[in-house]
Amino acid sequence: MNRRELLQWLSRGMATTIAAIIGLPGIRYLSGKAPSVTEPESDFRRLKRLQDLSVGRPVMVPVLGSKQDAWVQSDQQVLGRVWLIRRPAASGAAETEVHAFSSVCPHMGCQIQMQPSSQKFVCPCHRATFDLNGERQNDPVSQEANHAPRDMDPLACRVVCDSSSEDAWVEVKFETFQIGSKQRVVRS
Amino acid sequence: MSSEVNPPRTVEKYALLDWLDRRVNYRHYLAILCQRVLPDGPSWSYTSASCLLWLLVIECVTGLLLMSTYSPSMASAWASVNFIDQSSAGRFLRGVHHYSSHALIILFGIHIVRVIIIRAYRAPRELVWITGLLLFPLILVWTITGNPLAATQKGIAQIQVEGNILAATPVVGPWFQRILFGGDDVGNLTLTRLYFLHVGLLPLLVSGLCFVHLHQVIKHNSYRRNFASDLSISAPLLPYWPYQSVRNLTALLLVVGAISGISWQWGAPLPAPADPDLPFSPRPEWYFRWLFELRRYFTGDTEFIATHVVPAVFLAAFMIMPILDRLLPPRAERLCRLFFVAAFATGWGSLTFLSFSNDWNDREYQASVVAFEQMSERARELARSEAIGSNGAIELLRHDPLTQGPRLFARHCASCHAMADAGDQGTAVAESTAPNLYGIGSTKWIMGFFDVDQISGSNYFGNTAFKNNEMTEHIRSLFAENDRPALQNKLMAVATALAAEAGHEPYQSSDAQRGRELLVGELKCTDCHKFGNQGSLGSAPDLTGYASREWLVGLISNPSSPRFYGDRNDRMPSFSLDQTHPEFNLLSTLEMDILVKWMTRLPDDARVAEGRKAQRPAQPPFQESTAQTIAVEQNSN
Repeated sequence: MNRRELLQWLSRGMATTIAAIIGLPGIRYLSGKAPSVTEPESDFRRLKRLQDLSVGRPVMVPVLGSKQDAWVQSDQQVLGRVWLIRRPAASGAAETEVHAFSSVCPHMGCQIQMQPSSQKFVCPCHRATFDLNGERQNDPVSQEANHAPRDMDPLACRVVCDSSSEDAWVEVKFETFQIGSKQRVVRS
Repeated sequence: MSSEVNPPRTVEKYALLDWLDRRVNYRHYLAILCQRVLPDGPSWSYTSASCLLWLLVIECVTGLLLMSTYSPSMASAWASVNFIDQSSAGRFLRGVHHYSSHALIILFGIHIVRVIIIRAYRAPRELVWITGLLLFPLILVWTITGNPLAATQKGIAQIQVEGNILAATPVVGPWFQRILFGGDDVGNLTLTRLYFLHVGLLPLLVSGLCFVHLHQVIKHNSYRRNFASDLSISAPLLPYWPYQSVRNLTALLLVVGAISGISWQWGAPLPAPADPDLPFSPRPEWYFRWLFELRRYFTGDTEFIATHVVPAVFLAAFMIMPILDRLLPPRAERLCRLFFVAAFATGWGSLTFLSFSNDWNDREYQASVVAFEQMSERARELARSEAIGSNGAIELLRHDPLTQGPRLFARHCASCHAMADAGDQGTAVAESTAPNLYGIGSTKWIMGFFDVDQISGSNYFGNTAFKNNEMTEHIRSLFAENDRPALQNKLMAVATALAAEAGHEPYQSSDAQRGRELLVGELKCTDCHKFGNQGSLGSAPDLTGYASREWLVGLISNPSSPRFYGDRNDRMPSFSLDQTHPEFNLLSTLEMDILVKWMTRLPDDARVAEGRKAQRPAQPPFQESTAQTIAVEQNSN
């Protein structure tokens, strides 16, 4: 290596270093997670009184909570929505069961709606259709295949009785899931 | 060149320009731009390129002006865009900015087809072709990043779906999505990221590509000499300026004229502010409808083909056209080229058409579009009449009785109550099991109740446990024992007195005065009902403040209270009973307030005053057909 080549390589090296000094933090800055002030709540949340749910009629319930959006934190925000379905009590079982599903379509993330005429869940974006158990169905009208990569996302749900007020409460562990994947991946 | 050069000038007059020219040589560059000669001479078909360039300049100028007012955050974006629309010329400038982007895409399509047809991509102009082709997706991305900036329901829903499509890219997808959204969900950082892309990064990239593109166009402008055999036309050597320029500017003036006409007339659309509570079915802009339709045919794992592979294949196929031109014999190349253009045009056209016609035939979707347009109009109307608070435009519709009233009524009340007049305006229910609440508390509504033929009908007590109770018996006996016109005259006075309790009628009128005397006296209402300090609670609802907002809030909160139906309450739930857990009541305080305001049709105090002035609100302010909103709302539940 002669003197000229050495100086050329030195110059290239220094230019790359300078670019990296600015560029790498730049990439990290853009792709990093925003600092979160509050810990995400992952516990069961009380959503509704059992008596307010009628059997077999799904109800969409908003989940409220404090929400951190970048530099703003606001209380009583809609964090998401949950479909609650109270099942008819199976013969023999004393307790009625309540099932909860995330209202977010696993296909593209639109809000799944209820089609009263067919008693099916239908996503308005690409007509992904689900039965009341959240399982994928073919489109009842066009018989088109379902676009959703997986069934509706079930949420852990329990009915809790308050000893003080004797009310039965529906509590749901609210989570969000990765959209578009076949596997159900909880988003942190 | 020589004949067109300007005549010699006096040194004094142009001394400064001469000095500048000696320093920067600008006349040389100006001459390259203005005095170059196009291969076929000036032509109208070359105007598309120039139009595109100047539309980009117009986009930058109007965009810069809009930047001076726009504020990218979830709380302020919609409000600031609405502010732009309200300020003088702001609506026009935003309109030009909006419609120019559509014009850009249309013209770009025309430009590309024209370039393919005349084979302008041949050597040595491959780089012109490639930079031009790269500009097209870049400009599409530019518009995609611009559409959600107003934080409208439509724009935010679109970017949500687009982000999810981006996330489906193998390997880097989720990472890209995180960068675009600034986190897992659309929020404040998404708007600043989009803003950064829209006014920072993309303009830089587009300018860079445009520079290379134009440099190459001008450098290889003289390709006539290289392809002399192809061009038999011997065009006169007319310089670009003014022979081509005048054509370019004519075309540009027509385009800008059309854009500004549309902008002046309609302005850019501003849908309702984004609110996760509003039901919405997102659709992409018209230029992406073909992909939206295409993905209907690809489900599951193959969906990737529609969203990523097909657009990439098309782009790549276009890119290699200069290579095909060299490899294939002329005839085959020509067939291949025309086939490709035709295939793309028919594919694009038919998919776009199919997508729109599917939606056109989808009545549910059409109803949701109409309902959403009404909501958007209402949001704009509210934003004109009241200031937007620090929580942002989202509260306009959330606190609006006209928007939320029918939704709340449909969700909580319409399984039993109707709220419809004879013409079925409002919320009709299939099977009404409780009184029709349309105009509750008004003289007309109360007179219907005081009618022996109606009180046991389906609009009042017909389908309730009160069908044959003391009240109906009392009305029947009154009608049996009295002369009908005289009785109706007295009942009218009582109805007026009761309507005055809620503010529907003037409280001090002689009719109301007389009604109050009859109520406690001759007609014996206070035998069962409490009214003021007469009568007592427990056997029938209190008539003090009857059907006023306060009274209705009390009734809806707890109809089984002694003040209302007590233990004789038929089936009505208590909507706001629990004071220890107010968040789990069926209706929150805010919702109760909105619902009652809507039911009493007194959306604000100004209208209360109006109603008093007009003696009777003959035309309730809420006349819009809410039936469709209800239909959509019920679907969403």
